[in-house]
Amino acid sequence: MIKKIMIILCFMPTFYVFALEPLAEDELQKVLGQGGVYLSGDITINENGGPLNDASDASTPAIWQANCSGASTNKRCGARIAVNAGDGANSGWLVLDNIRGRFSFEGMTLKTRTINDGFSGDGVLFDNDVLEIGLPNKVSYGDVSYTLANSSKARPTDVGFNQTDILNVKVDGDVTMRGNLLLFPTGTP
Amino acid sequence: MALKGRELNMWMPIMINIRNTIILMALPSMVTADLIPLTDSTLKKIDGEGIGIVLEDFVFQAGEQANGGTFEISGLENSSGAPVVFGISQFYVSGSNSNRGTNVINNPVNLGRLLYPYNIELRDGDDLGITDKAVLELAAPEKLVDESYFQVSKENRTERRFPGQQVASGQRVDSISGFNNSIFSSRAGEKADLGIRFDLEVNGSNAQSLENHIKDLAIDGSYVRLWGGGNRVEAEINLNIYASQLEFRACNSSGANCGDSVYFNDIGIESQIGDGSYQPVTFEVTPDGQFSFLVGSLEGKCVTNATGGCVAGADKNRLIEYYESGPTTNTYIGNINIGGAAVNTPGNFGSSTISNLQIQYLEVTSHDL
Repeated sequence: MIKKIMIILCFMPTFYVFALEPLAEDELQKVLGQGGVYLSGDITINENGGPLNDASDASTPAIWQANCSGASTNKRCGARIAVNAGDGANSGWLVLDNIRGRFSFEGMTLKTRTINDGFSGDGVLFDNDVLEIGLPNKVSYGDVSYTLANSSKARPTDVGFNQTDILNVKVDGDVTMRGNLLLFPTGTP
Repeated sequence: MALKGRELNMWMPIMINIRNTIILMALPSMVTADLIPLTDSTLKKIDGEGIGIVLEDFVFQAGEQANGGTFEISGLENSSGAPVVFGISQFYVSGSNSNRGTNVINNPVNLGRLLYPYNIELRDGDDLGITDKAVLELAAPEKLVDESYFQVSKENRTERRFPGQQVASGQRVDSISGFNNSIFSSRAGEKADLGIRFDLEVNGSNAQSLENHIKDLAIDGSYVRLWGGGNRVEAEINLNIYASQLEFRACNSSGANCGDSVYFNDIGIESQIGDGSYQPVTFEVTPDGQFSFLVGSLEGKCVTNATGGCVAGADKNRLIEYYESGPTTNTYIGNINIGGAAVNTPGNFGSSTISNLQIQYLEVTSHDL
């Protein structure tokens, strides 16, 4: 029995000859932190017209039609956000109109991170957790367009509708966006 | 096999150690502590007043030339009615030394510091001169010290402030004597370069290419405060812009053969617009669909006497306070030149200063042409 224990004990230290070694930078990069989320997204808005459009309904004003095809001369077919910054009854609306297109991205990450060094000395003093949103390197826009306008009414179907378009923006291509967005509570705990 | 005395003595410590080890190994399972919910009283002490935002190693680039595709702003017309389209060739935000947007992708910048982040916060209006309102504050990194960037030399003057009005004495800014660089919380690596290059397309063909570039931009101490005041959104704006250089230049339709740049060097702008609910800033759209930007009037802020002056009292004192320490706009541009012309040569316009500009009423309204 004792011999057995001795033999086992003799071999025990050999299990521990591998000491803790620092991981190389490239090794560390392969280590995935737990609790993080990797997101990809693809959103298409009003590619084929807006929800209020119904050309077959005779009571719908012609200004608000469903045909968003390339051949159509009707441009008013996207989503619409109308904001009233004043007294609703007596003031007009700031409008983001004709919002349509496709946004897609891949590689957005979401995780928490403890920062206690780096940031040119700020990290040590900060010593806290942040929510880190890793921006996708590339956001793809597919025929995204919108119009900035001023309008007298919230909806084009309202009586007395009158709108002044200020500018139209059209984006079709990639936008490069790199870096991390860090969010954290501020104030004095 | 029985152990004899000497062998027993030799093995005893090992056996004891094994027993201790087993006991030690069993210890963690005896720990009964668990995650416990925080009580309300503990939670109340965590006063997350706002949300801090920092952009780490940030780079942004978009545009037709930079990434391909289409990036257009349209809806404008020239004087002869032809449609004018701005085709954005490049729009970038990067670290310093971007070299007019050629060094962007591998030149990231930190916007905001962990200790001085961009901040979104709901604040108590009573602390900000906006009585009984909750105020939404969107703020850029604070200044390290709450002082002006401009150090000014003043002179005593006794004069009529307005023809026909009574003589008044006071101090007037004579010149800007220096700059207080200790106000910046943004350090050298935390100032961004940003710029935009766009083509003017008239009637579908490229007419000209224009470029604007800003170097080392910091907006420390800027904020927008918003609150609801009587059926509308009211605001107070504090806009601080500091940059080492702003450059404009025009090139031909292919973006080559650029003309001389116009440089604005060493720019400092500190503009306070609006004074809480006393003089709110409003942005509205009129009922007929035009926008209107308004900085409230001071008219009627006090009861006037027979000679048109304010009747003594709290209203008058508030107005005096407004004129003495109310919102002002100060602007300094170290040097304006064309094509890098040296000082005291044609093409160099020297420096310019605007100090103590006080917007006492402003209304901007759009009209259809």
